[in-house]
Amino acid sequence: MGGETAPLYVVCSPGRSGGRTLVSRLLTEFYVLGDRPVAAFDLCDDEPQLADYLPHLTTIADITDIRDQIRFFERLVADDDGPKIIDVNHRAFKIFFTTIKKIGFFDEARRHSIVPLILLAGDAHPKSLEMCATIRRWFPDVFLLPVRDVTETIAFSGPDMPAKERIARNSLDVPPLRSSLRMLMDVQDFSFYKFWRAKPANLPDAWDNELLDWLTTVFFEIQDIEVLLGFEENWTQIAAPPSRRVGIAHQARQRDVQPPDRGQFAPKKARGDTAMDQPDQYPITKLQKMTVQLQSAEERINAFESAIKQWQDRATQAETKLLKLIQSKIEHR
Amino acid sequence: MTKPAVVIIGADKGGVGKTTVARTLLDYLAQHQIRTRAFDTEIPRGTLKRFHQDSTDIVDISHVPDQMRIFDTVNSTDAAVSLIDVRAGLLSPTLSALRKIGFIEAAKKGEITLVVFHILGPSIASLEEIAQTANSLRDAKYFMVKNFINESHYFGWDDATYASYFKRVPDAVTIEIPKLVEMAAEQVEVASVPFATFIANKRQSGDPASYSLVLRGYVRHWLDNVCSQYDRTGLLRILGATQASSAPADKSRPTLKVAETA
Repeated sequence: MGGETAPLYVVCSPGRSGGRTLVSRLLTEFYVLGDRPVAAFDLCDDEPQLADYLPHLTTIADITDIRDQIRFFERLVADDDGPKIIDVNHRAFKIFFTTIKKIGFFDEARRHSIVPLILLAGDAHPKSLEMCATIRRWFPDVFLLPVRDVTETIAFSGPDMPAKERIARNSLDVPPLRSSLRMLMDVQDFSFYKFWRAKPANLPDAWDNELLDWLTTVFFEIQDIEVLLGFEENWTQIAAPPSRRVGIAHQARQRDVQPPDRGQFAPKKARGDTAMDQPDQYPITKLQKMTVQLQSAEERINAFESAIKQWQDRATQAETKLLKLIQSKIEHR
Repeated sequence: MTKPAVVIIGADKGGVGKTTVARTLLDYLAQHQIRTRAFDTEIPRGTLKRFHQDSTDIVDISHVPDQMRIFDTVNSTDAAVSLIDVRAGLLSPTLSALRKIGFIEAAKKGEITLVVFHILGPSIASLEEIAQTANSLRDAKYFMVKNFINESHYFGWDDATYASYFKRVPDAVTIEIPKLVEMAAEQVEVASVPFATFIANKRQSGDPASYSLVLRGYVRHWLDNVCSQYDRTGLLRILGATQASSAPADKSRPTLKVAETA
């Protein structure tokens, strides 16, 4: 492998739903856009499956039989340097992690320069919480991130969980999106890769922008995860093709992100302004964006404080004048 | 190590996994850096020796010169433990022979530590041997080993039958060897290496191998369970064994060192 490391994402859910397959799709297509040789594996046996969305990239796997286990796990450590995504639904959850634990697979993966990460999409059901706590106990040395899909039931690092069993507070956050766009994404032949490359026909510009913003945010999250896993030297870079910027030429642009004017919010990001759209520049990090937003917020707070001070001075002056007027009237009586 | 220990592993029926248990014991003692020598009584080719070539000699336990080779050197050998894998059907005759030569008496006097691993099969005939074997032992430590080579329950579902065999010898210790996945057992068989060496993905020569990581994982899991059984019973304490002071600390599973030669 030449000493390089590759991520192994285990996207799983102890209960139904939780946004698991959506996350698996996003991860897989992220690496497709980044020109990485990604391989996805589907351990689910009910609809919809990852293999239905990405049939050319996904291998349907079964680990109930030992021969199938040998085929599956040997493939995961195959010497191909590419990231791998495993989609594990609630039915395969127990057997998958029990087998992993029994054969010590994560330790073996590390010996092959593979960094495993568990992405746990779940709900607040007590059984789910218990299974998640078990996973944390079994694999204390493996990165574990809850998936927080705000349109689904939020996961489980909540107050009901004993503190010592609480799962890591960092998470992969799937931001909210209007339901009509979620329905669009749920269609089986919808591809994030194709959407990124070209605006779908008949999709309103506003929706197109919203979905692109949403997807950009998610891709930033994935890049942050790569840094978390230790890939800061070889993280995946993604650039939008030039044809996307032509389509939004009528919108106001900023070539560089500038601090906003005093008392105003930072300007809304227009299509084509993200770092992903400027392949010739080093990507603007999420940290820089947050810094700009923080500066903007601080500017507004300063402006409000100044305005409050002015009103306080005016109130004091008015009160003084009133008192003088009253005193004057009393003296003249 | 205060006094030498002799471990006899046997059964009066074949096919109960006697040599498998012997192999796990050799790996366990190696893991704790206890110098051990082994004797394989399956003449002429041996079975244990195929897996633990460097530390095992093939002997004829019924042959007096070979008996002398084993028992006359117990005190003089560098090995802290002498392990004898007794041929199927020869456990009782071997214990009788040991009684005749005064070996059992020496154990009773505390001159040596004698441990017998009686490997049981899931049959009434095998369980009938328990009382007989226990009667021939006086101050030897008696381990009854249930080797789950199949899905047998050893009559655990029938309290009366179970008690009639397993509760009859109150000082005996029961050890349960869990079942190893057949495919994993077969690959170790084909590889002809100790379990620990298989887990480490090495050949007998020490060169890297390419065994299945899944099967290695199953063998590791199984061996850990077996070793935890030995830990639970205090086997090292019974053997009076301590780690060799000259041996460097090694957290991996080492292969056996060279032991006694003829």
